[in-house]
Amino acid sequence: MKSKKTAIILILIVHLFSGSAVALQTDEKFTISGYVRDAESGESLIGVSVFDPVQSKGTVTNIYGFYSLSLSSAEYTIRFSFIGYKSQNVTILLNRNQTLDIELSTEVLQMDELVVSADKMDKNVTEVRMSTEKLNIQQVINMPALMGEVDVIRGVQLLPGIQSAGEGTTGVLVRGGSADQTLIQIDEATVFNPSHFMGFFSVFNPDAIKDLEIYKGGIPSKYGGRLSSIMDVRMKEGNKKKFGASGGIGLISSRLTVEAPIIKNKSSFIVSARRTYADLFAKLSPDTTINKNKLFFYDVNVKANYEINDRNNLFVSGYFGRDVFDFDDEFRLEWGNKTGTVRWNHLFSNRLFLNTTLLHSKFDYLIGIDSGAESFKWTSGLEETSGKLDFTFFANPNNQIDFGYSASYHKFTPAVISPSEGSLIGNYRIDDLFAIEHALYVGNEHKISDKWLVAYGVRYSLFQNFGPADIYTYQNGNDRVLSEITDTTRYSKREVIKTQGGIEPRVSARYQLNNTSSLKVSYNRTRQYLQLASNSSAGLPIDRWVPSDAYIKPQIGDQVALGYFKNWSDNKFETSIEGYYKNMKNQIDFKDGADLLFSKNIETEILSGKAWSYGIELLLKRNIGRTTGWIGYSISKTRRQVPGINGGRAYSPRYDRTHDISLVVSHELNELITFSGNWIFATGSAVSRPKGKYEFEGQSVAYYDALDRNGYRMPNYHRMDLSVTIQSKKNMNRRCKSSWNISIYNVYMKKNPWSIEYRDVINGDPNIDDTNKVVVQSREFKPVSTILFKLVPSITYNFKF
Amino acid sequence: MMKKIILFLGIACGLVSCLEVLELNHDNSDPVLVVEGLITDKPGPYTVRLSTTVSFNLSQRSNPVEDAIVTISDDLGNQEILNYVENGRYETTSMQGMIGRTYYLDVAYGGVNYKSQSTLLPVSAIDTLYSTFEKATRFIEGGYYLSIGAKSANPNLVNYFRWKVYEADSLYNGVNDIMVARDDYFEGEFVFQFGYPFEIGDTVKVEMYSLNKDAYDYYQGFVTILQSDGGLFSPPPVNAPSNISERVLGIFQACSVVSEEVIIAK
Repeated sequence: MKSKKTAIILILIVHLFSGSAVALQTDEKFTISGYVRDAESGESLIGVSVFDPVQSKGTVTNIYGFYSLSLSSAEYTIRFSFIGYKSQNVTILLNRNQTLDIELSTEVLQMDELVVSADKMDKNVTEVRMSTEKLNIQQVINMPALMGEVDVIRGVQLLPGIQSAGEGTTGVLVRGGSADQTLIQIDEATVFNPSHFMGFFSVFNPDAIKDLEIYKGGIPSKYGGRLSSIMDVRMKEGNKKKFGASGGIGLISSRLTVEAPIIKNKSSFIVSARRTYADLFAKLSPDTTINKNKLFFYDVNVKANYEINDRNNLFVSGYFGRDVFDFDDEFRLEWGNKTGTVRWNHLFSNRLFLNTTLLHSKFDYLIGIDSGAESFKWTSGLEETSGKLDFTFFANPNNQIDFGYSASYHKFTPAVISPSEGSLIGNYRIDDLFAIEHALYVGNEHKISDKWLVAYGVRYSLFQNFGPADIYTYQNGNDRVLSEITDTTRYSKREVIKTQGGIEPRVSARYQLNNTSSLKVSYNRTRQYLQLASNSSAGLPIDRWVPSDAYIKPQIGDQVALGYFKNWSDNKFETSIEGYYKNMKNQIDFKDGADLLFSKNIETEILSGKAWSYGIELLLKRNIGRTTGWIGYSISKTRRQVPGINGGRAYSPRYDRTHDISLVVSHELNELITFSGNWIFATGSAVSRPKGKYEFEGQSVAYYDALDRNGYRMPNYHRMDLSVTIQSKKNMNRRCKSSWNISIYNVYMKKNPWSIEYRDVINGDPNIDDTNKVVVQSREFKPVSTILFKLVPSITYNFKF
Repeated sequence: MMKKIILFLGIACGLVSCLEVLELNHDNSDPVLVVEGLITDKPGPYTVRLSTTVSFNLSQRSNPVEDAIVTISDDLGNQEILNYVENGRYETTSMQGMIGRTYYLDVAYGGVNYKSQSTLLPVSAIDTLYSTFEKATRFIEGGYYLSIGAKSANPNLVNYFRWKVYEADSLYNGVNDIMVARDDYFEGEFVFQFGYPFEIGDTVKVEMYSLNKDAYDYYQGFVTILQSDGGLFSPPPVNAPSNISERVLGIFQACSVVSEEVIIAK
């Protein structure tokens, strides 16, 4: 069955190549191609519609701003249009292959005029992609921000079908997938942990981000490596025309971005940096126990590009971020991501585009106690080094073929504990692990008729673990117990231990019902070879990544999605309804009391099972005009079933939320004042609730039913945030523009429980934790909730010149 | 620890987090037997306490079991039926725990025989017990911190142990006072510092118990559930794994004990 499906896809692709070759012989066609850029900054624009209104043929610019359109020899008026920009019509006589680079200017919104732009703003209806969300970075910047820190991940979490693990966490959980099933990448390099300050903030500095797209389903064949979702973040390239700087001063951090041409119109750079300064205030304290504490994060984004010639573009970018907690020079916790990308866009012809990328990313953390008999330094991390070749062949206006290959080398350093001098703690090391992941893909976007647009493709991924390593054999290979190791096999350096892989078919289709509505359907299979061994719901920097190996099978996900898309009032309003069903195999979970951090035999701590998720998502969105925003609603259900957990019965993961509503509105009152507001409602997290209590050694303890994991719900979560952005009046006549943003998080002070614990409450006051300091009048065993954010106001000053 | 850091971060960022007692409806399961059984190498009598779980919203903390038949035997065939005393407690009369022997518990209750066993493992002597002064930081209170040092009882194996701390003969018995450890991250000897300070003049006694691995796992699970935040930063809450049966809570254990006393001085 599986091979049959693959064969059909291959036949389709072969057919397509031969078909297009025939077409080229009979009908003389020429190609017009080029880059579309922003007129002021020279930044390439992603997703610009390039369109011939007469024949209704067109394309969109790719992620590098490149387009290519092959048409019969004739005179054409090509329209370039992009949201927020003035459309441009260019008349050309197409009698040879041509290069045409276009610059678009931003549209200035007039006071009493609603800009109505009907030009191809129906992309959401006409394109074949579904289950894909593009986040408007400017809209996120206007959104109310927690403590003034604009956060794109917080924006993403407001889209239907996407959730966080809980308040104050940066995990991106998509359609019933866990946080490690979303691949987060910045300029194509993997970000293994997107959190700062344990998850209050994300690693993405909004000043450095140009574009963010997230795939919830219908994932194209060029993406892979994770089961549920791909979040593709692109950094700005830097202004190629003039020097510019922007920044902001907030309550907990400051930001500064500098961009400038290196060679005007040819080459530019951007450097964006951000640092928190909560600890700098602490430094002012005369108390030596406080002023010695370090508590900060920083991140730096750098990018430079060089347009070598019409056919060659070079980009180099990097991200470096780190969190540091250092308490009184005693206890230290640090973590951070580093990524680097070198990218070379090459045009073999104006119809064959190649993107060659070299990537490196690293995540590591350090925990240390600096002095004393228990002092040690514990480090852990993982590294990924990849090379990718991504081709796009613009075969003809009806076929665009993507194909490519990638190889990633993974190195895992689970834990190295080294004692300091005078410490009694011994050396402890979990051996490094090595693996290579290959992927080969081909996909075609095929316009069959005006009504039918189909994208089909296939990806083949392969994962190999290799030595040096010791692989243990257990008495029972399915229920592995440490004390039942029967044999050890030693693998030498570079010796292959295990090879696993398989086909990942990807298909999606759009059927155009009429000018304003379409139906879409998609199916995709995904495979995932890396997973996070985390026993808690909120991702922590110390969670350990483990590769698939002789014992841990790769995760396999299958998803089907069906959607109806309709635009209203000249594309001012977009609506969509999507339903999906997702089946996930080889899902890992952990034995009770599992030691995930220090186990040298992680396979003895892991259990494996299945999961499934289904749901319906509704979205109403308005992108143009003075009032923009969206309302998203999703109803969904996610279940897991793992032998050895919950008595083998299915249970809801904590992040399963039945209902999830987000309302995001931004209203531009006038040129100076913009109001924004969010309202969020979500069914409470699935949690276990005690079914009694007992006493052991004088302590009261909650009793849980072992067969009722996560059978209850936290109270429903809801919250409203508001903000206002005020531009300085002087901005009109000055190059330097400044603004103030005032945000209030949780305006109506909803006390949303962040966690609920069960413990003794003394005298009815949950804050009493030391019974030696009070007269104990009563001691009751009660649920106690921690409420994190009751009402958080903040103010940020931003400037740009 | 993680939760502590996060709350600290919240406070450092100028946030006010707060605690609130909730009123939730709780379903209640049928009562489940709870066993607290301990036999040591010190002279008896040894106690086995039996109780059952109670409904969550009752003010009563536990429900003592008075009508069980409790028997302890050893691998030499010695056997004794325990006498009921009060509040669910059953006591031995003549039994003496010995290092190296395995002890068997049998509880006949409600028509079911619940059985368990535990081997009385040796524990090494306490080498050092001393206090050092630490200044107050955001994470720790200032004062005299007690450190305990000992050699591994059997350097070829992983040894598990537990400490109990008494000040002026009263046991520290809070949520954070259950301290168990294993010595495989140390090299033959270890030093452990207790997490709370004492004052000059305090008389502090420390007992060190040998544990079997199942007892160590039980206490690990017990501490995890006592300190659980409900699953956001801790694992999903599960009952500590009993060494008696899946449908029973608590543990039966045989331990050897050493103790040392110190008066805190400058």
